[in-house]
Amino acid sequence: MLNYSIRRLLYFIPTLFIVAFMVFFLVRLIPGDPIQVMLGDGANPETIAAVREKMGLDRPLPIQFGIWLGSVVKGDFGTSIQTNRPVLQSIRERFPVTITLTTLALLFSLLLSIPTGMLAAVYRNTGKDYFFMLLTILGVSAPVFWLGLLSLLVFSVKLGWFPSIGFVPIWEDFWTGLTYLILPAVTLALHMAAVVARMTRSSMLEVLRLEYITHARAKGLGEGKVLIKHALKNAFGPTLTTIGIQYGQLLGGAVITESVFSLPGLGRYVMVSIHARDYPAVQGCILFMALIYVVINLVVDLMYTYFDPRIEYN
Amino acid sequence: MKKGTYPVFLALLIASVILAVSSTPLAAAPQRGGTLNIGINTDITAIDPHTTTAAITASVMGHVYERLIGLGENLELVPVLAERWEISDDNLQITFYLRKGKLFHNGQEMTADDVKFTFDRIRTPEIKFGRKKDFADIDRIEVVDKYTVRFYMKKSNLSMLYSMAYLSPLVAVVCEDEVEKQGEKMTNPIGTGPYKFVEWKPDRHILLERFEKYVPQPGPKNGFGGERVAYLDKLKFIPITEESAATMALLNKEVDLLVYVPFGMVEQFKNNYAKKGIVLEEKTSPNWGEIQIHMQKPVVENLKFRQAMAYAIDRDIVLQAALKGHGTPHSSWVARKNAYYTPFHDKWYEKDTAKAKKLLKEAGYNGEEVNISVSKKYPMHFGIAVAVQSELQAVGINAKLKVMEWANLIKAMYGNDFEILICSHTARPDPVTAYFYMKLNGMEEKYPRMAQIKEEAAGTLDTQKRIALFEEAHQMCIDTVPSYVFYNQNIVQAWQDNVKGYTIWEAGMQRYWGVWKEK
Repeated sequence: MLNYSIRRLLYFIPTLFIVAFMVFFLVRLIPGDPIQVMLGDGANPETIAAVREKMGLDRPLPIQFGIWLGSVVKGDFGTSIQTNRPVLQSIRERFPVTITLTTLALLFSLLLSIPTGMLAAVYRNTGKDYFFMLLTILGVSAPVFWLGLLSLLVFSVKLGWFPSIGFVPIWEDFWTGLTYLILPAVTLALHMAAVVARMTRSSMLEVLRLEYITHARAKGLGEGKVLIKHALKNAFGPTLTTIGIQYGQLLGGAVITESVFSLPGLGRYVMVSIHARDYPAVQGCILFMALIYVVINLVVDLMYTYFDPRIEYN
Repeated sequence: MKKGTYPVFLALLIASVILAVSSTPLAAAPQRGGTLNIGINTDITAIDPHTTTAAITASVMGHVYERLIGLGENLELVPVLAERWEISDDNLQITFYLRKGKLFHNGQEMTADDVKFTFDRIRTPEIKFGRKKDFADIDRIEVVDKYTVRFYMKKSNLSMLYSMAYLSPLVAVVCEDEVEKQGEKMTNPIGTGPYKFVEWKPDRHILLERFEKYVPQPGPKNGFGGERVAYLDKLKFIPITEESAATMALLNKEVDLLVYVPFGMVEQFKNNYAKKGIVLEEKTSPNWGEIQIHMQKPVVENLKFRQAMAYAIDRDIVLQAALKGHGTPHSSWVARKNAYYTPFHDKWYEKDTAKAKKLLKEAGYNGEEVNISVSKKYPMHFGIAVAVQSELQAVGINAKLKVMEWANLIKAMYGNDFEILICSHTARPDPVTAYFYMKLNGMEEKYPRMAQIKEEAAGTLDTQKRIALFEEAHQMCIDTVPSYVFYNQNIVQAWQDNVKGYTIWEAGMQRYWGVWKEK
């Protein structure tokens, strides 16, 4: 498994190079001039040219790419055109917000989705199954911004249980920080839970009809043990993949949730940077997200060996 | 009433009136202390005031920094860090006499060296200052003595004074030593304003606290000038991008003041939230919405076609579509609030479909497609676009919307790549800078007199001369239709009723000096 992990880590290099190459050139394919956006309507062509030269944006694209890549390798993601702050500093400030939110959302969603999916599978084609699946359809279909605003209105304005705006890092003040995160995390979790519950149900249905489940029951094992130890563990593979993909996507920035709840996360930063054509910020963030995504995929792959011992990474 | 009881009743009445009057609180006295939480609709983009044109940055950092000269309540020039200034007869020397004893937040005194450094800095190519061209006519700056600084001009350009006082970018006087110490990536802005910078946590908050050594200048509060007293201990600006969330934060008392109330929620605020202790204010700003018509592009280059467009449009419909009616119809680039405004600037075309159709015929228009370039970044822009399209189509113009991203639209605007383009602008105290846009729609090339008017106006501060020049410019706009100005936009803000001393300044900048929170 160690060899496999090292091999996978080495695969990261070409993957990230391709991502870097694509994001660098794709961002520049979008029409719009970052310097013009930044300097506004009073700038004359001479000023624009001077700033462009200073930022190296007047050089041929392959040279710009080479310089940028060289800096990235050295751990320098460049400086934001708009804010004049190092991109890596912004990522460092914002990623902890996003990872805390997303991880909390993942926990909530697992708490909701796994039992729901299992119960729906056990009681398949009954009223309970239809009820749970109806809930999941609602969860998938309800727009995140709507759920967010509704939860703000009810739990923040009407009941006064949670603050409606702001953010306090949980590593500075755990309980206060948690009050700022619960509503956005639950909002995200509802959507995520719906997808995971549906996947859990279908995987469980596949497994429940297999002979070893009948055998386990025939041995006289309790239904709980059969479902959790034998059925769920073996059915969890596809669910795990779904969780990995969803988690990876959310780590890339839960843009809408962050905007509705005024959270200073990575998604909000990327969105503003794209509008401003802030090339270094967009490139840096997307490269970082790609890195996170491949790491999560690796972790998910490694976790397969626990849920399915037949899988070996040699 | 019995005869004997009347005097007693009268005495009681008088006594109760006296008691009532004496117990009525006088105008509440300002109270020091507290933090004002201010909901802003977008985060600042930088803390170095010279490197961004974002109005929100100028508005927030305008509490940390001060200008050499500023704008008064009616967009006139007022002294701030400069106590007074003198202009030589040939306009080629402008001498500023600085206030003595003005301290930067690091305790250092502001001197002529800092002023020279500031204006040299914004003119250097390395600094991303957006309005370098406004200061391009400065030949050199001389420090005459510690409190006197003289600008030598290459040519007469008194419009530069307005650029110094301009709203955004903020031409802040910075501390030379601090800027050199901190380098280009400024982390701790040091100004001379009534509040000093504490921290900026992007997308979380910007925190300022009162600068105890600030000495307000004499005279009543007047725009950026006059007495600026900081009663509040701290100002906390909280970016809330989602409008509904911002309203909920105000209702929840998590913010004390909201600088942007969506027009669609004004009635709800008036009907429901007023009884919850929310104060709503609405004022017309000098900001305007318009279409630019390119005078050298096919179809729209034809004067009769442009006049037909002007006759085709009902500005009230546009105002409704763009701002839900929250604006004042206006026709000129010289706003009503401007010192150079005269009723002449109200003259414009009235909707007349028959005339529009007749002019289209005379123009030889055959249904060619005409594109309206617009971005959806600002809903009001899209509102204007939809209304204009529908009005033009109603007279037979084949108008199409060309929706593009904001960065794209800006590029089209500066790259002469549009036929009709929707835009809006913030207050231009000096109309010379407003008429700048005539460079972008080909008007100055086609009608060089427009450029001459701008140059003549830039060379004088004589109000009557300037009024005459701007009236001439407006007449040219009527005659040639290079654009169609629709309205001056309203600003709507709301705050908790314990916030005192605050009022909207139509110029659009926030001012929290003279503001306090009642305990």
